[in-house]
Amino acid sequence: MTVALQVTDLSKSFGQSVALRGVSFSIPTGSLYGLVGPNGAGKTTLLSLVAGFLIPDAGAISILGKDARDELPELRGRFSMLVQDAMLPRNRKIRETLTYLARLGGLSKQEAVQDVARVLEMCGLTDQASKRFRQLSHGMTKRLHVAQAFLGQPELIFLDEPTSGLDPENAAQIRKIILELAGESTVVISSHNLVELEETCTDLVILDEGEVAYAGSMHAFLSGGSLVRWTVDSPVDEGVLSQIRGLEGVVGLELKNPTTLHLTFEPSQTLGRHHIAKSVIETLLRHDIVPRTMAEGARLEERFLVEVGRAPTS
Amino acid sequence: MKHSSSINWRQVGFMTLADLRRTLRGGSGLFFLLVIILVGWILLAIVTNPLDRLIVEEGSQSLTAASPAVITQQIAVFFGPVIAWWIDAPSQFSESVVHLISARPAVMSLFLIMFAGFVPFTSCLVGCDQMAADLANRHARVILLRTGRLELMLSRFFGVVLFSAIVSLILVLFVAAFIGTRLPGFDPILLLLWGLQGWMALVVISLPYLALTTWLSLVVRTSGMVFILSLLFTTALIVVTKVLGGYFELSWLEKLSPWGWKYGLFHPNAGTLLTSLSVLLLFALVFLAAARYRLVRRDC
Repeated sequence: MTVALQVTDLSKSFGQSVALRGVSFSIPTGSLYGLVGPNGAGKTTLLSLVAGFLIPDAGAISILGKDARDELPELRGRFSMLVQDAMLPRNRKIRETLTYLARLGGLSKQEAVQDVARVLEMCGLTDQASKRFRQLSHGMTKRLHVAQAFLGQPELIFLDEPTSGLDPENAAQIRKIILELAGESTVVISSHNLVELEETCTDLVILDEGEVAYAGSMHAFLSGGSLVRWTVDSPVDEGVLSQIRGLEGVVGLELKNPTTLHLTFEPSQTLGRHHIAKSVIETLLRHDIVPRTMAEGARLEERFLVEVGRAPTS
Repeated sequence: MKHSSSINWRQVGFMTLADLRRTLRGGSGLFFLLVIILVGWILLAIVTNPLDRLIVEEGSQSLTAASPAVITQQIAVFFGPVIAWWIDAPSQFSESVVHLISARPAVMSLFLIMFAGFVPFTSCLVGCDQMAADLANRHARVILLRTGRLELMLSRFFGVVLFSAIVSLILVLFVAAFIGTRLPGFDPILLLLWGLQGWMALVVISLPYLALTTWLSLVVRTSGMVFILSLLFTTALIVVTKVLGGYFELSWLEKLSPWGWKYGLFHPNAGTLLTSLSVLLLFALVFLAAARYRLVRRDC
């Protein structure tokens, strides 16, 4: 397995505020990687360090096998980024500016013209190409930022909040484009939209308070956990809930609505997941409550909240 | 952060020309050109209107009809002391003043040295919008994904140098054409050659001030603040030396800034000229080195 991005012991502070503290992880080539974390967790700082916009206090970054500090010039054009909150010059024309960026990335004039046409088509902006940036709506501007990140077909693309502020239709279009890139480029998406990441990404890194809380495959993260979602045929009262809470191996219980339970199991060597589940089912049946569906694992949002210690456990 | 010491000059050239093209085509470039032409026009009026009156009083029909010798003589009488004061020469009979009036087309000399006094200020204006705004609104990040920090900084610097040079060339050619038309007695070739030599001096004078704005644009967050600070740097020393110069010997103080060296570029003595040229280039290099030092250590 080749590595597209390797981050080792990366630290960054802004004055007294520590943004990243010894962050280490690696991203395999070809993966669609999610970067998740609460506000202020250090996601944008991490991406800014990787791109060379910020200077790290300590640590090393390797992009596509090259040192991002010493060999940055050799990496120009091989990785790209949708920069959060970056402004594009309001009075400049779209096609002209994208062509300029493509040429700066190393393409010839003819290649740049063709590539700009490609990314504009990809992002559904072909008919806007002659306009100036100030004439675009927020959604179109966002898509244009995404388009510039795809210029030159980079091997590694970082997308910082690619769908924030977009309507569902535009967001779906961006997700579709990202999925189409799978296999061609390694894509790292930083987002608060966990549903989107769950649908899109194969792997993820969770940052919390400047540290890595999890780094690995999405599947392992969602199924490796002990969260179980249960729906039942009739409302569960407090008496039943307290009996379930008292069962061995049940460490968390949340009543999402009167007929939906979220349980957190803690299996041990002597007490497996199935045994705990069996005890729960028996308890419910004793009170004439019939379990209807059971889903192991959890949606990313729930699992994420557990991982960063924000999950309500009752 | 470590950075590769080799600079990608192809990218620098590409960005410089792209920036220059945009500036020339854009409203800000046109605005600056008009400001400079207006300043030039006013300076020409300041030079030619009193001459016109003097020459008529001396018995000639008009300035246009007067011979270059008569015009030069009137300039020496009327403007000699002013030129001496303007370029800090000991008197109107100093070698440098006599050279400007007698050895070169006097009207063009007058225009060049007066305009040279404005170049530091116009350079602050043209150079203030190099990087501060782009760094603050993060547009620079979109560019820095594709090029290095030094390449970006140098392209912005060379862009304003080229723009400033083109504008002052247009102005000098305009002035040469104006003088050549209005005062046909002056040899047009000599006028043009002296104009071009003066234009090169104007470009050299602008370099340290443009480099100063490059450095400041990496230190403060807005173009307006860059303009104010560079203007303060330019004027503070002048004000101090001009105000207190009557009481104390402060000519050495002017030599601490590019201001004190600019008229050496118009001096007939090659040694003085080369020294001034070297010092002005050194000032530019020092400011660029400060800018580089700041740039490679700051977050973008």
